[in-house]
Parts: sequence; C-alpha cells; structure tokens
Amino acid sequence: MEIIKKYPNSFQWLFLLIVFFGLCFGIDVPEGYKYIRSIAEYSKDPNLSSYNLFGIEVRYYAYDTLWRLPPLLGWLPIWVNDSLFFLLNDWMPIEFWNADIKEFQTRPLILQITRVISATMLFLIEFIREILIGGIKTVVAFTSWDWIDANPWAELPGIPWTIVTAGAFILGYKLNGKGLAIFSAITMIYISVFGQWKPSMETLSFVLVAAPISFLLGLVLGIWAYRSKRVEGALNPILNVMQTMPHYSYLVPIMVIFGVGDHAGAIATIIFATPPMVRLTLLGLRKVSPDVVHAGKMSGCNDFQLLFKVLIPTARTDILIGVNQVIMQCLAMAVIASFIGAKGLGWNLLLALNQLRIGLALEAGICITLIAVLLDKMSLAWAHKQTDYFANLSFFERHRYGIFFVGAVVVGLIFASVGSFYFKEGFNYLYEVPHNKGISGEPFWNAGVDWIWDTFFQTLKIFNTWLIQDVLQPMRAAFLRMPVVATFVLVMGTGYIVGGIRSALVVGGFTLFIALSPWWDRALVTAYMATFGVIASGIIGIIVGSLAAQNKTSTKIVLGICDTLQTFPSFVYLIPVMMLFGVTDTSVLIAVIVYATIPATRYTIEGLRSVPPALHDAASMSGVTPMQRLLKIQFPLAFPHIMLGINQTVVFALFMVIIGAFIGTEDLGQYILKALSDVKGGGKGLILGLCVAFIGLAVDNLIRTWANKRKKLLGLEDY
Amino acid sequence: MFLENNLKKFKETPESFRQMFGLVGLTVIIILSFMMLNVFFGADDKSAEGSKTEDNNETVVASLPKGRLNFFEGNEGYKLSASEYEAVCKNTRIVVQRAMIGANITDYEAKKLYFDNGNKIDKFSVKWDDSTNKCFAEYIIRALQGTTETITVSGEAKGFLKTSIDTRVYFIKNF
Repeated sequence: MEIIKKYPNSFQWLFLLIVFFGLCFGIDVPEGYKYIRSIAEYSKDPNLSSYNLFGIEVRYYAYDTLWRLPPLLGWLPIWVNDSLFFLLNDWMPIEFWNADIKEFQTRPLILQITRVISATMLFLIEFIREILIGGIKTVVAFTSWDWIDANPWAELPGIPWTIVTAGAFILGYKLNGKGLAIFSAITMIYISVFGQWKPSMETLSFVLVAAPISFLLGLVLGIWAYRSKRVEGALNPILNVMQTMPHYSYLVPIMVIFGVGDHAGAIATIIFATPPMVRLTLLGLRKVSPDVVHAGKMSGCNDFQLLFKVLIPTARTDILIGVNQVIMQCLAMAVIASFIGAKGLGWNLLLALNQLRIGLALEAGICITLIAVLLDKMSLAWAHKQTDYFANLSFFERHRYGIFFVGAVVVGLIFASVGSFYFKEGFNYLYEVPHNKGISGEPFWNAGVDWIWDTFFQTLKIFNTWLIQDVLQPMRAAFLRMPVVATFVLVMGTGYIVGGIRSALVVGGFTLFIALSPWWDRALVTAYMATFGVIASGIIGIIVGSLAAQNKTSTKIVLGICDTLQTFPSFVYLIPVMMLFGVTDTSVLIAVIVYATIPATRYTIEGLRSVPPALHDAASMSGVTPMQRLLKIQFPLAFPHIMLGINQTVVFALFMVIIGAFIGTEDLGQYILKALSDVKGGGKGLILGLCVAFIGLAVDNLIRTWANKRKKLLGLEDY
Repeated sequence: MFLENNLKKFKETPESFRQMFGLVGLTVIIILSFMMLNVFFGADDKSAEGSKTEDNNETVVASLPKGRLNFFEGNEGYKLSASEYEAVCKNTRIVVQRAMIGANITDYEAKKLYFDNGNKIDKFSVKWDDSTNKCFAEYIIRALQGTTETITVSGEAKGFLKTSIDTRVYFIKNF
C-alpha cells in the first residue's frame, strides 16, 4: 500500500497497460473478420445486419462489440447529403430576375445565395487576373461583347513582367532594405524566365481575393469575440475543429454547395485561412494593456473610437502577423484547391504529379515556394515596420518609392514596346514569357531522378523493403489488432490519469464518434501512420533542437531553416520524396517526418532557451557538467513546452498523412479523396474530416492538459 | 447510515487511492458498457455462420480464372460448374452497366427511364435462390425528379466478370 502511495501515477499506468494488453490478447479476432471490407454502396448481402434511423437504412457487418462497434453513425453522412440536397434544391423557392434571359425565374433561396457568392468571387478573381495578365471578361461585364468587338482597344492588357519585378523590388526595399529587394527581384525573374508567369499570376490573383476576405472576416470575428465572452466561447470549439480538419475535407461540401472552379477554391481557402486571423486578432486585442484602454476612455473615446483609434492600432503587430498567417494558409491551399478546379501553379503541379513528371512538378513547386517565402518575408516586414514620422520632408523624399515605381512603369512600357519591334515573329519576351516557352529545368531534374534511381536503386529498394516489411506492416497489424474496447480503455484511462474524469470523457467522446462511424479501421490506419511519423519526428526534432539550442548562432540558423520550411506549402514536400522512393507508403511517411519535424525542433529550441539564466548560473556554480545541466535541469523544465511542440507535430503529421492519400495510402484520407469524385460525397467528406479532426483534438486535449498541469507543478505558468 | 459511513471513509482515503479506484471503476464501466451493447448489436450465430460460408465461396472464386465466367455454353470465357456458379453468385455484389443495358433491351419502359434519368440506378442486388438453384440479379431504376416512378428489372444472372478484386454480374437473362 505504501508503494502505491509513493508512486501513484506509475501504478495507474501499470494497471492501465495490463488491462489494455489483457484485452488485446484476450479478445480474439472474430471469424470472418476482414480488415476494411469494401461494400458496394447499393449491394445487399444476406450476412449484413441493418438498422433504420430517420428512414435511412444502414447496413453493416456485425461483430462482437468488444471487437468493433457497429456504425451507428452511418446515417450521418447520408443525412448531411440529404439536408444539403434539400437546402439547395427544395427549400424556400424564390423568384429572381435573370438578366440574361430577361425573365423571372424560380430558384431555392440557398442555391440563389450560393450562386451570387460564386459569381461575385469569380468576378473578383477574373478582375485581378486580368489586371495582372490581361483579358476582356471584366470589361465585357460592364459593357457587352458587341461593344468590345467595336472597340478592341478596350481589351485590358496585362502588366509586363518587368514592371511587376521592378514593383516587387521597390516594395521589398521599402519594407526591409536591399536583402528583401534582391530576393523579390530574383523570385520574379525566376518565375518569368521559367515560363511560369501566367500560372503564378493566376495563383496570385486567387490569393489577392481570398486573403483580404479572410482578413476582414477574421478581424470582425476576432473583435466580436473580444467584446463578448459568449461569442468567444462559441467560436473556440469551432475554430479548434476548423484548424485540425484536413484541407481536403473542406473541399467536398464546398464543391457540392458552390460547384467547381476558381471561386470554389477561393471559398475553401477563405474558410481555411480565417481561423488563425481570428485567433491572432483576439490575442492582439487581449494583449493591449488596460492602462492604454483606460487612457482612451479618459480621453472621451466612444466605443467605435476606442476600437479603431486605440485598440486596433495598439494591436497592429499581432493583427499584421495574422495577415501573414492568412497569406501563408492561402498559398498552402493553392495546390489543394486545384483539386476542385482552381487554376494556377497548384493546378500545374497537380497535373505534373499525376503524370509522374517530377521535374515539371518541381519547377511549379519551386515557384509556389518562392512566392510563399517572398510574401511571408514581405508581410512579416510590414508587420514589424515602424511608421516613419519625419517633418519637413521634400516632395521627392516623401514620395520617392511612388516616383521610382512610376519610373519603372514608364521604363517597363518602353521595354515592352521595343520588344514588340525586336521580337517581330513569335512572342514578345519583354512583355511576357509564355507558359512552356521559357527556360525549363525539367530535363535536368528528370536526369537527376534517373541518376538517383540508377545509382541508389538497390540501396533505396533495400531500405524501402525493410521499412515496409519489418516496421510498417507489423505496426499497422498491431493497430488493427486492437479491439475497440481496449482502445477505449487506453484512451479514456490516459485521459483520466492526465486530467481526471473531465478529460477522460472529452477524449472518450471524440473516440466514440470515430468508433461509431463506418471508418474505424481506416482511422486506425491513419493513427498508425501519424504515430509512426510523430515518433520519428519527435526523436529527430528533440535531438536537433537540443543540439541547436546550445549556442545562439546555431539556434538562429536552425530557427531560420524552420521558418523557411514552414512557409513551404505542404504538397511541395511530396515531390522530393516521390523522386527518391516512388509512389509508396514510405514516401508519405518520409514526407510526414520531414514536415512534422519542424514544430518538434522549434519548440525544443524555444523550450530549452526559455529556461531562466539564473538557473543556468546556479547549476554552473553547483559544478554540474553541460550534459548534467541539459538532462537534469533544462530538459525537465522545458519538457512541457516540448510537449506542446509534439502536439503541433501530431497536427502536422495528420495533415500530411491525409495529403499522402494522393500517393495512395489506405487511410481516412483515401476516402476523403474518393469523396471528391462522388456526387454524394459531401456528407462523407465532412464526417471523414471530423474523424481526422477528432483524432487531433483528442491528442491535443491530452497533451495540453498534461503540459498545463506540469507547468503549474514546476511553477512555469508565466513562461 | 451505512452509505454515509462508507462515503466518509472513502473521502478520508488518500488521493492516490481514490484516483486508483476511479481508474478501476472507469475501466469496469467501459468494459461493461461494451458488453451490454453486444446484446443489441453483436454478431449472432447466423451471421457468424454466414461469414464462414462466405469464406468458402471466396476460396472457390479465387481459384477461378480472371475474365468472363459463364453458366451457359459460350464462345468466350470460362464455363462454370453448378457449385462454382453458386459460389460466384453468393460472392457477387455488383451489377455492371453492361448487364443493365443488356437487360433493358427487352424492357422498353426501363430502357427509356434509364436513359432519361442519366443512367442512375437506385439499388441493385444479387441473390441466390435455394429453391430453384438459380442466381437472380435485380436493379431498380428511379426517375431523378418529378415523379416517384420506379421500375424494377430482374432476371437470371448467367454471366459474370471476374476482375482482380471482385466478381460482377455481366449478363442478366430476363426474357
């Protein structure tokens, strides 16, 4: 008894593990059970059991419920679909004026609203796209095709690439000096000479529409949440789910509601990019000192003035970092949105990957990455830039950047005109380098891939076979061999030990939702892949982070690398691994490891560096060696923070596992991908997305509760 | 009184013991809840027996060649024996479009509705009839909008197609 009193936690864990393994070994795999049975949707099998709910029949293979629960939530995706269908086709028909046929037409309200939203989004995207690369649709929207035939001069010309490059150079210089200016110019020149100008501008037009809308939505919601606790309470769980749901799962219901095309991609992007803006707005406003607020009130500000003249300007930096996050999320979605028809670099990358043209995919991938890094650096520089207040400046000094830009426009136009004389036949390269007419690195990259395969084929094959046969397959079998009751005991028991009954019920609720869905087996496969990725990333991240945290220079270098890698859209990680390992599970897992190592490394460094210097001094005075200091002082104190990094690693790993479905995994992601090509896939996509989100949220709850408890215990709440 | 005393005793127990009791209690509740669910949703003997038969059928089907499998004298494909025919039928879930179009040829109304509604099929099923020792395939064509009209087409499934993953009905005789 005394020993239980002395080590209560160890005994609880021991008990939990004994029960878990006891259940795993005690419950046999039912006869006739096959992992992930494929059931044709409309087929009937006499061996299937069924139940009826709300008139929806759900058929399933019944097993011992200790082994697998019946899919009692099987009706949910069908119900979501039916509801969507009803809303879009039958609910509240209204009359509206159709200008094209000059007649009143009847259409359900929701369908009309979605069509108006779609048309507005499409108009905005087209408008910006035509400013960047030319066109006539916007002019036609305000006039007519007859008018444009009569006045061909009115066709919008695109902006020559030289002007955009000069503009980016000047903007880069204004925001952060010559370093950013040179990088901006190199990026633009790369994009144009490699013939990626048109798709890049298409992507940029998409970002330029989605980002401001996300910014405004996020700002309004953030302010609303700041002013009302109730709104914050309601928004929090929604934001949690939105931020842990994989990108793919947004696409399916959006495709059902808004159709396919650039507008649908932009809407999906807006939904994905808004949550970080809401959170950062709220964080920024919360950080405003009460003294500042009091000073504003004492100066006689009304609510409106207090918000726009005091709170928002004071929280400017955090809000602008929100803008940075919005832009990054928009670019991360650029490739994924192309699954529902968004044009641009993402579309080209997807096509190239589909055709296994790795060199071409790499070119498009580099372009997206360069644009992402450039916009990241620019928006961060904007966020941290202080406004210059100088009096008595001359007109030139006040407007020098604008004047330089006007000069650049004039020079660019002259160049483009000269080009039209010089390149009499073919294309005017001083105006725009057409797609597929620029320099192409594809043969070089393809030769590189061939060389890698020729040189390392045997080594890669041996590694691949070893990893799949000796590590991945046994691990997957172990996960699938877990009876559902054992999983519940393990998950809820862990919740209980970590955070008491409340935590146990929360994680139990999340797990129950997945267990009652028709995709428990798939969820186990997702969990196994994410677990493998998290373990490997965690080990690598903690080791690299610990080594890097030892001095300031290495810390700066590694954090810089993490910053840069974090700006890469997640899809880009698949390209190099496909080059090395082909289309296999190994590729997905290596991509998961690379992608998920970033937060593990970053948080380890930040955790170790946040240990108070006074403790370092105290340790040195006590005569400890550097290794003892790391293991006995720094690690225990930094561990809660490192665990928050592992929490992020789990989310990153889940995202990448789902994206990996593109290569051909067998997990929830594969079903989400299939739902994209299914007419009735909206409900499925949404529920599958929730399943992934709930895996992430369950782990998040456990780790966050543990880390907070541990921090409290160590007296580190302020760190 | 007895309850109160015990509650008091429990409250006086050290925190570590109470937590351990809580964990044990939670574990027992979880296991019992799952056992109770078994009463309503668990597998019965019939379905377990069904699964066994299904396994046998799958073994028979696995031994057959890929491509067309016929239960009639044909120029192409493999001729099924009576036992193989039964195994293939019981193992088949899907009716391919070719079989539907073929069966629709002799049913004008079905053919019209099938093309009018964009080739949408509501439900299909494949059943083995023990009394006649025949395999029957059935599908329901439903109009997309406007009416609740449905047409059920059924017939004897006499031809199948074996792919690398499953078997499908390839020919329905409904004349």
